[in-house]
Formats: sequence, C-alpha cells, structure tokens
Amino acid sequence: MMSNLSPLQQINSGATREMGQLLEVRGLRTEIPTRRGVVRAVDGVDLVLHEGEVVGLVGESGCGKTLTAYSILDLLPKPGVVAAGEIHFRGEDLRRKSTEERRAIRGNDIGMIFQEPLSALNPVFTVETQIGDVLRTHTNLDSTAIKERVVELLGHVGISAPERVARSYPFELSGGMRQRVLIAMAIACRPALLIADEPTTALDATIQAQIMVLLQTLVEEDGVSILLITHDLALVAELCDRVYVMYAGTVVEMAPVEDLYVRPRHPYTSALFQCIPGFQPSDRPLAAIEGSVPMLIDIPPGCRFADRCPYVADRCRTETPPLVDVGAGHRAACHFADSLDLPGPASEQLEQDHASAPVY
Amino acid sequence: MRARFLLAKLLWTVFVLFGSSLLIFGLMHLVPGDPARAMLGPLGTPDAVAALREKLGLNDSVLKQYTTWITHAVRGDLGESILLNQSVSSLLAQRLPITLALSFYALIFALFVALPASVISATRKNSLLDYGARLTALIGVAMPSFWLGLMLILLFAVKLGVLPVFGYVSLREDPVDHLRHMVLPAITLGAAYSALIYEMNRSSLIEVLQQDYIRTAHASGIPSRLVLFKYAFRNALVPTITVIGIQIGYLMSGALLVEAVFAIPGMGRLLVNGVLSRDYPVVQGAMLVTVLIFVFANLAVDMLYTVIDPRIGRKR
Repeated sequence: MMSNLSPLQQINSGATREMGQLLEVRGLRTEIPTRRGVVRAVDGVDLVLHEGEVVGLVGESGCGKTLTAYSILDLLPKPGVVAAGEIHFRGEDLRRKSTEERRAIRGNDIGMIFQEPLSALNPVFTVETQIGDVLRTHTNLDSTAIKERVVELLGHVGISAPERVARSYPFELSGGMRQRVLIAMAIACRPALLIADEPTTALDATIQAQIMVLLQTLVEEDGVSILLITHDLALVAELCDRVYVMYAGTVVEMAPVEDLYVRPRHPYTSALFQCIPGFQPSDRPLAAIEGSVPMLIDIPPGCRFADRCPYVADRCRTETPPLVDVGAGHRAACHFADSLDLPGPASEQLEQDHASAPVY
Repeated sequence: MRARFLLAKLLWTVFVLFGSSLLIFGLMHLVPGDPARAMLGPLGTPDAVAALREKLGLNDSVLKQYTTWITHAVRGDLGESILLNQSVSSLLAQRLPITLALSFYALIFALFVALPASVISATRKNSLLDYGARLTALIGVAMPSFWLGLMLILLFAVKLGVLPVFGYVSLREDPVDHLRHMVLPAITLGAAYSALIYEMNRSSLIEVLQQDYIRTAHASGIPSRLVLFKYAFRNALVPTITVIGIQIGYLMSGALLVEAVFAIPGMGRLLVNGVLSRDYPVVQGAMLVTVLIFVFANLAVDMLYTVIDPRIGRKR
C-alpha cells in the first residue's frame, strides 16, 4: 500500500495517524432564496474527514465549496440556510446545537482561514488584540498568559519577530505575514479541524509555497486535520490525502489524491486537470472548459455537467448519475465512469513534477 | 509620522484662523461709506462720527488697523461695545458659556439618540424598526428648527405644562431649573444633528458589517455583541466622527435661531443684536470666537481620528 504513494503522501500518512472520523457531512443542502427562485447552492453533499487527514474540496467559483464550509460553521451569509442534511463533528450533529453552542465551537474546535489576508484582519486593532480576543473568548487565561500565548503562536507560525508583530497593526505587515497571523488566530485554541478557504490564492508564488509548508507542518506536528478548499489542483497534489471534486453544488468525484491523478473517472475532473499549466502533455495547448456552471434554480434532471461534457450521451440529459464506487475509496457520479479512459496527469509525470518542483 | 500629520493640521488651523480674521476684519470696511457713520446711523452728528472714528482708530492705515485689532484680539482685548458700554470680551464671557452649554446638551442628546438607533437600524436592516427610524431621521432633517422649537413649546410647555416656555436659568443658580430650561432648546437644536449622525453611522455600520474582518471575527467564535460593539463600531465611527466635527459649525449657527425662539441670552442673541444695531466690535468678536471654536473642534476631531484608526497619519 505504502509503495503506491508518492514521497509526499508517505509523509502525510505517518504511522501515528489515527483514522477516527472527525467530520461527517451527510446530504447537506444549502439554499439561498432569491427573487427568481430558491438557489440550491449545495445540493446533497456527503463528505467525510478523518482525524489527521487533509481533504481537498475542489471546484470552480460558485460550485458551492465555500458555502459547504460556511454551512459546517454556521456562518452562512443571509439569507442562505441549511435546508437539509446532517453535520456530525466528533459524533455530534451540529445542526441540533444552538447558535450559541455552535459559536463556541468556532475558533475553538474548528478554525478557519480565508482567501484575502489583506482584508480578513481588522484594520484598527493590533494583532495582539485580535488573537487575544479569540483566546479570551474560548479560554480562561489571564492577560499576561494571553500575551505570552500570542507571541508563542506567532513564533509557531514562523514569524521571526513575534513580539514586534504582536504589537503591529495589520497594515504594517506584508500579505504573507498577515496570512500567518490569520493562521495563528485560527489555531490559537488548538482546533482539531482547520478549514482553509483558498489560503494562498491572494499571495504570490514564493509566499504560497511558504504557507503550504506551514500548513503541512501543522498537520504533521500538531495533528490538525485540514479541509482545503481550492480551485487549484496543483495545491491539492501537494497537501491532500483525499479529494472531493464539486460541480454545481454536488460532489461529482471523490478519491484518494493518487487515484485521482492517475485516473480521474469524471469528465469534469479530467477537464480541470487539463486547465492546469504543466499538468497536461506539453504538446497540447492549455485547455479551457467551454460554457459555464448552470443556474441552480429549478435544476432539470440529468447530469449537471452534460452541457459542457465532451462525452455527453442522451442518457446524461435524462438520468441523474449517482455517486457510485469505481475503485477503493474512489467514487464518481458519471454514467460512463467505468468505460471512459480519461486523461489525467500520469503518475510518472506527477512524480517527475515533484522531483523538479522547488522543495517547499 | 503622526507628529507630522498633527503638525500639518495645526499649521492649517493657524492658516484658517489668519484667513478668517482677515475676513472678519474686512467686514467693517466692506460697508459702503464710513463705518463710523453707518454705526451711528442718521442721528450721528459730525462730532460724534469724528469721535467714534478716533476711538475705532479709523484714521490709521488699514494695515495698522488690522495689526492693532489682531494683536489686541490675541491678548483677549476685542474692543468696546458701542451700544452696551461694556468690553466685548466681558460680554462674550457672559454669553458664550450659555451657548456652549446649549450646544453641549444638543450634542449629548444627538449622540444619545443617534448612536443606539443606528446600531438597531444597521443590525436589523430593512426591518420595520429600521424604516421607522429612517423616516424619523428624514423628518428630523427636514424640519426647520424654529418650527420644531415652537411645536415643542406648544406641546410640553403650553399643553402639558411640564417644562418652562422659555428663558434661561444659570447652572449655579439652580441646576435642576437650569436643565429644565435647557431640555426643549437642546432637543430643538440637536434634532437635525442627531438625524445626520444617525444616517452616517447607520450606513457606515452596514458597510463595515459586510467586511471580511467581521466574518473572521465570527469564524473565530467571537460573541456577536463583541463583534458589533468592538470590531464593527470602531471602524464605523471614523466617517461618523467627521460628520460630528463638521456639523459643530452647524450647531453654533443653529444656536442663533434656537436662542431666539427660546429667549436664551446666549452668544447667538448677542451676535444677532450686534448685527441689527451695527455694533461692529461685538459682531467681530463673536464671529472670531465662533470661528475659533469651529476650528479647534475640527482639530480635536483630527486628533481623535488618529486614536480611533491607527492607519490615519501614518505611512501605509
């Protein structure tokens, strides 16, 4: 089993890993009422995350990946609501908990980091105040202990002058530093789960790499589980154990990261791979997926990807494909998952990429 | 960086004061003909006019007149009232505290109404409460203060008889009666001010509540109350403070009307009477003091900014 994994994967699945279920989402349906009708932004999503695992949630903008995270945290912007489904965290259904109980979980058991480190920090308070408030909310530490813990946390996320940064205002820090501060804030109370929503998208390439290394360290040393929300399949390859691919509010494919890269089973996943520079064979031009995500109001039966799928058949337009097993831990929602031989980045090529990629 | 920001503001303040002093001084010379004759009116005998010219220093060059006036003014000597036979500074010393007290009460009233109302409106945007508050604010801005004052007198003083109709009692004489006399004028003066602060803080809060850092605070489990009153309120306050500062000028000019309606012997009354009777030293003195208050209130607001928002006055 281990021999099938890339070197990075082997690091990820260290022997100390416990594989208890941390988060289980079942049949999640999130709706947004609009003037033109109810938008089913998330429609029947199942998702499992084990302790110590890094799971990727991948898809293009508007596929419902961020709203899935907000649904888990009870952070949905109005007027969005979770209409159906269960969200089990450590065996307890979060939807049965009160608003106050769910607030107490946020920042304490589940931390979240965001895409825009520039605007995600409050401009008029120091780093110390902002991280300190999280600690004050969830712990009984006194003010001296909080100050010490803030500095310790900043050091932990790789900030070299933690005392100075603690006293700084966000506008005095660089983008990479701010993202580190946000990560420090998210892990302040040692959460078991960290939800990272496009944590590196707004950063430049070298800083991206540093932040990815930091997240990797948190997984290995602190045993944090991460739900990584991204549109970037290259990032997923670096960090994740398993991947969920979302399209138009539904999960279309779920697989261990290796299997997905060796042989994607859903045409959408395959199409996503072809959009990544460097992942497709170099003699082919960079692809784009034609068309756009369908409006999620009054969704007709059939596969939601049908209009954009190069392999579309009549059956796809009438019959909704269920998410079925297509291999060990690998599921796909395509009528032709077994028969199609879809292009993905070959395993040899993936390893070559790793070998030639800068060491993070 | 902040020292430089404040120094620049201070220099600007000095510049504004200098400019205003020129304007105020120039007023006397803008009146066609001889100011002394204009002051004394048709009854002024040539002898009286000559005496007044001598007293006001009108025979000197304009530059000398200005420097004499401004150097005296800096030392607190604003000349003598022509009609009241009293020094202008002593008149101001009597009248100014009354206007300041009235403005202060109006400010307190305005903040007390506007800030809580804006929080309620912003957190319950487009609810009935929000619509009600916005409608009230609209009426508050649209209503002329003298009319509002008369209506309040009619209701509370004449019909209900719970508050005095008009007049003024000093704080030292009788604190309770002082406040009773100040309630209606303060509401009258503060109503429109309050509506402006409310509108500004409401829209500012609504915008701030949509910011990413508010979402971060919620995602960190910070209790909503703390998110609203600490994380959102402080950011929302910056534009609101600007309105509060600029409108202090409005408060001072609004006091003219309100003092007239409620027969309060404040600086507004002094200024109006001074204009009507062409008592130029009084007019100049009162205007100079008004400008001074306005300019320093705004300087105070600028300093307050740097406390509220650390980004202001620093290099980005």
